[in-house]
Amino acid sequence: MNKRLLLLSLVGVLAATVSSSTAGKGLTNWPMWGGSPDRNMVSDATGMPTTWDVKSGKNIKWVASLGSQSYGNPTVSDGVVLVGTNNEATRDPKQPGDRGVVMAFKEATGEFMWQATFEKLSSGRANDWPFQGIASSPLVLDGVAYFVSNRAVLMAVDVQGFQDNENDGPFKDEKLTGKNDPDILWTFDMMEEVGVFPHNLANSSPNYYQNLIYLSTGNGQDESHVNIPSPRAPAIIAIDRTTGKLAWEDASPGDKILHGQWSTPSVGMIGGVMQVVHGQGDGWVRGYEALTGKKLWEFDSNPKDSVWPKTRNELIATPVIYENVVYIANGQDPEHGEGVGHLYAIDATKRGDITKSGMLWHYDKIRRSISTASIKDGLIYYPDFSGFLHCLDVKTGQPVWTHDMFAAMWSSTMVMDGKVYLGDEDGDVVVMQAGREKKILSEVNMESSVYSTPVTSNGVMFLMTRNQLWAIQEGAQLKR
Amino acid sequence: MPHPTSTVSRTRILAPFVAALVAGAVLHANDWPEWRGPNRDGVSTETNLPSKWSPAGENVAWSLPFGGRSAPVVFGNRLYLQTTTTGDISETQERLLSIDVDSGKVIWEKRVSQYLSDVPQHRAGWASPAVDRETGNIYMFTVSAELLCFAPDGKILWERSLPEEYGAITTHGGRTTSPIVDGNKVILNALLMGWGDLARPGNRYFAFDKKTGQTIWVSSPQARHYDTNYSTPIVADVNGAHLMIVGGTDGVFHALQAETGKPQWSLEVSKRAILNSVLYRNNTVYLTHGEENIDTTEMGMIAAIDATGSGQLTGAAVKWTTRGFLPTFASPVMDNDRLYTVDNSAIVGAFDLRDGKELWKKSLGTLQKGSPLLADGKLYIGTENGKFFILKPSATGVEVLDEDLIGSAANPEPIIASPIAANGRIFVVTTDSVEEMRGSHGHVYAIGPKKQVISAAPPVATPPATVRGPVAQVQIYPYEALLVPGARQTFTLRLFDAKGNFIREEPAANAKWSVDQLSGTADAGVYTAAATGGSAGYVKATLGDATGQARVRVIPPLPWTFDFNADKTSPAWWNANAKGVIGQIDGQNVLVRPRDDTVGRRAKLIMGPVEMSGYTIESDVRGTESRRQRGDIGLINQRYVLVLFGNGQKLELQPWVAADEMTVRVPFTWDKDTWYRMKLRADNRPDGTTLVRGKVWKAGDAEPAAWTIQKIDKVPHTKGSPGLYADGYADMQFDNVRVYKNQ
Repeated sequence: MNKRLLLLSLVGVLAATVSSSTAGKGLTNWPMWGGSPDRNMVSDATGMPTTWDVKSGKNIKWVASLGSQSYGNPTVSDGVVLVGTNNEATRDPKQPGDRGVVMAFKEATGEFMWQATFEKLSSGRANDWPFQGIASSPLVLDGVAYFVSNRAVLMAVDVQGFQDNENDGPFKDEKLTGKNDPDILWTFDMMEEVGVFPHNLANSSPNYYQNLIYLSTGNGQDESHVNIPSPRAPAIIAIDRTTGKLAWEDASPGDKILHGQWSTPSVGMIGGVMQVVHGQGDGWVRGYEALTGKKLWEFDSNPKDSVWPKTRNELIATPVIYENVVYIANGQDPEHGEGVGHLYAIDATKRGDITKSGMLWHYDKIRRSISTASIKDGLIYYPDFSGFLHCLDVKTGQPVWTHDMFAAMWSSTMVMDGKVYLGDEDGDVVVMQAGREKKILSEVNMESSVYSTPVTSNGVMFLMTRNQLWAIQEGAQLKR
Repeated sequence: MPHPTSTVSRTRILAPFVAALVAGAVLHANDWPEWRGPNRDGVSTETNLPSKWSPAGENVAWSLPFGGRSAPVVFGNRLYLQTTTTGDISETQERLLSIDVDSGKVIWEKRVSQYLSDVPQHRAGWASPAVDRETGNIYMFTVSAELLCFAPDGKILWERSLPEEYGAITTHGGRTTSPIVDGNKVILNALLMGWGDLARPGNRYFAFDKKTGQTIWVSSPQARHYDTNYSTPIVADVNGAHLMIVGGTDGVFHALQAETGKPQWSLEVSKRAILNSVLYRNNTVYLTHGEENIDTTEMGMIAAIDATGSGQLTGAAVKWTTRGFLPTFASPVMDNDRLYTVDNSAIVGAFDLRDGKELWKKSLGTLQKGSPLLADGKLYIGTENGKFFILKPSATGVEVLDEDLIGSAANPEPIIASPIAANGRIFVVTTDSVEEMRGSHGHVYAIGPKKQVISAAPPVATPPATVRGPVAQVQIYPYEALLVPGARQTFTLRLFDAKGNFIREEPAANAKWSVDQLSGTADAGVYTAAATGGSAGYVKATLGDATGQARVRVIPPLPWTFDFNADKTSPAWWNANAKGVIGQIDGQNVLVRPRDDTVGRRAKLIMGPVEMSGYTIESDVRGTESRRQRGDIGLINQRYVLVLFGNGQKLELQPWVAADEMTVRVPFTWDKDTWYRMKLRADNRPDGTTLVRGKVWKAGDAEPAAWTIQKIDKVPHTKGSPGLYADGYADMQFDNVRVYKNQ
């Protein structure tokens, strides 16, 4: 692994090449939230089962126990599945109580490998909400997993943990060095280093370009919900992944943050410029030049006459970059209930305030949404928190069909193998036919809420419920 | 049409009958006097209740064009609704409305300004009021944790300011308990960080004398506190003890002796606060919650518990338990066979009372807050999606008798409040639709006949005869007193047995009286404060092996000066705790709110009397910086807070911090590690407004003539304690604090 670190800059160039082309996505790994830096929720996997049964174990390869609430979507790389959860399935009695946890399982068997646990912040729920665990979906790059802990610390850890029998550095002073403990390479504490005051939970799923890691800081309000205690702290930062040091930062929302910041950045080539695109806490989407952090454009996702918290929304969804266009819907913290939403196609080749000039289309029939788009074959699939899945023409924003799940959606669709997979809070996963004709192929109940989005690797679909991780594969049979 | 008089006369007819059953109680026919109804179980015994209606008017006796988020209560011919004012949100207040049940006409409305609270306008009016069945008085507990008692004609009889008197903390989520009235007591709970033995932050249970508002007891059964909550207690006579049973903020269900607050038993079930109320029948408590369990990763619980135990109950007391159904917000109801409740995503479920087995469930929407009402064999359920259902449950499933959407599909009116039943009608309260400006402020619907159907109330079960044991507990009443130097306070002595049954009032002279940490003397039930100076502590009375205690603060009249040199601590009566310690800057003693990375970072040091008005407070203030963050510092006067923001480089005058639209702000540049002087003055004016003015200048400079910031408040706070305010990660310092009558 140290050797790999030596090669890092070279690999970075290769990885960057990969990031601009997503062919073969989901075939052999799923190394980050969205599977690729553009975050488009599609997979090239084929042979995915249309139905499975958690009771009989039909088409189930393995299942692993997680904590009581799990929001860190699975990532799969180097034969390891990583998820973010809480510590309610306490695996180490010496690490008790409420904590954020990243757990690593062997991709092939579901065998538990290692976990990284983090005590809750003493500053309480305003910064670190009870039992939410770790909601960051790790990024795995060159054998290193990057994720944000519930303590707002960016962690760089060896994806194999100590099971490669090496303590990789530069950080080598781990207190816990058992085979189930994390091998930490370096850390970046966003509260200490850049003064971040995360609201409720820092949850960013890291993204990257070349040698830089990008993440949303989660900076937001204090308990009073009218004060931004740290307006000079950035909304987005870039960290050099060799050194773990700050490369650039931007604090554009300042004290205009409506609530928190839970949208996670996307990266893609737009109009010939590699950009980082981020939905920020003031309801604006901003684009940055990836290597320098230079702000290129900004777009207000709220109508000017909207009023927080009734009709003015925050951005929790992840932007998706597809053919020079950014797609994102706004919404609110699920605690705030349902309400009006807005979905946009934004021409991110424009510069400056592009709220008017960059709006390709605006779809206002969506309700508040915290989900991320799937774009495939000229269609965009977008779930909302009121339980509706919207299928639109990606070029025009014209609705093609909608489907009512009759339950709140926190998760996103995964489009693959000619099908659309989507889970909801009541634990139902619907499998629909992809395309202009609305057709339900099956519906499977997972016996626990589905807040996650299915991902694929090596012909297996990984689906996390609130407290379990399921490996689903056509023809498999779970032995109980 | 029954007029108010006819209801009253019926009351008179019923009164002797009812009085025979419940000493002193005056029950109207089928009143719904508290949130959970006459028996605190969400059940009405009325029959022939509506099976069908429509918001457009079918089977609607009347409706009102505003609603709220809490259930109304009905007593006699009055419906009481606790909600917010509508209109300009820069003037939002909570209000209590008295509405004529016959006609839906508003009889009176009392508006109450909110203060020192993080609960925003749209979550105000969280709790339901409670009516005392003996007097008809109404109790209102606001999101600021102020308890008010109104006479039936709307006159305020008394009020208690828990944030100022007890350091109550009210948070953004808004969760506020609905009070209940039991015997002579109003019972509720609040999160607080008070002075003395209530300094440890946590949830406390309170019993106030329903007639005088004086505190009877404060109980601290919890070892920890997870979240704020609103599990409204029930009261039950169990095994010779009169118990209140409630879900704690510690994931524990607690049974406390209702007369004394002494813990009887507890059962830990969750790692989060309990929001649900319990049900009780035949020595069994039926409890529910929708959060983490202590022993499995499966969330949610429905369980039956043997309620006759004492101490920390264990698994042996659990008759059955069912997990995996998550009724986080709704409280359950039950008939003879089944328990019904609704989970977070609006799925109603039925569970067999014998073994807890899930019998069926049905999805009603996606979001649920309110509780079901069970009446006339029907379930009445409103969802947060704005739908109201009337359902006919059975052993095998549920039939939808009626389903109505309130508002439009694009803009529904969420139903947060639980429906209630009274006198032949169902009352449904909806709240603001999301697009308020194009929608509505919600509604109240009286569903049912134009004419109330007044039938005799069901007979109230005779409480079991009390068997009293020997004296085991001594209670000093009142439990809390605030005096000026030289004043006297007379206490009475009440005796209880080990189970909390009242035995008698004892002549005070029979006990041995003493003072603890308090200047002055106590003898024969009379405490006399020292002639000068302030102090805080306890008056104690010992009778045999039992000792009772009351909390007393003695606070001198204005003017006050504190330079922290002579006295090396902040005064004992401040709600200061560890938030105000003495430190040194440049060799001078100062008051420091130390660097704080805990949830209690924001400190409000409340100095004392609530009834103060017409004064000025000033102080030197100084702030430091850590982690790119400068702290904030300020003063409190008559519930107004003047805050100098370090990061924000601005000065704010806040009547109600969470109501941002009320705040006045000006840019203000100030440096870290530098002393400034702040001054805040409030003047109540003859026109009913209050003029609040603040200024800040560099310490040592001449005081500027002009005020830096001011507000004329049309919904004013007209009284309140002085205090100091500090927030942020960094050290914040005060010195040379002065409080004096306006000059």
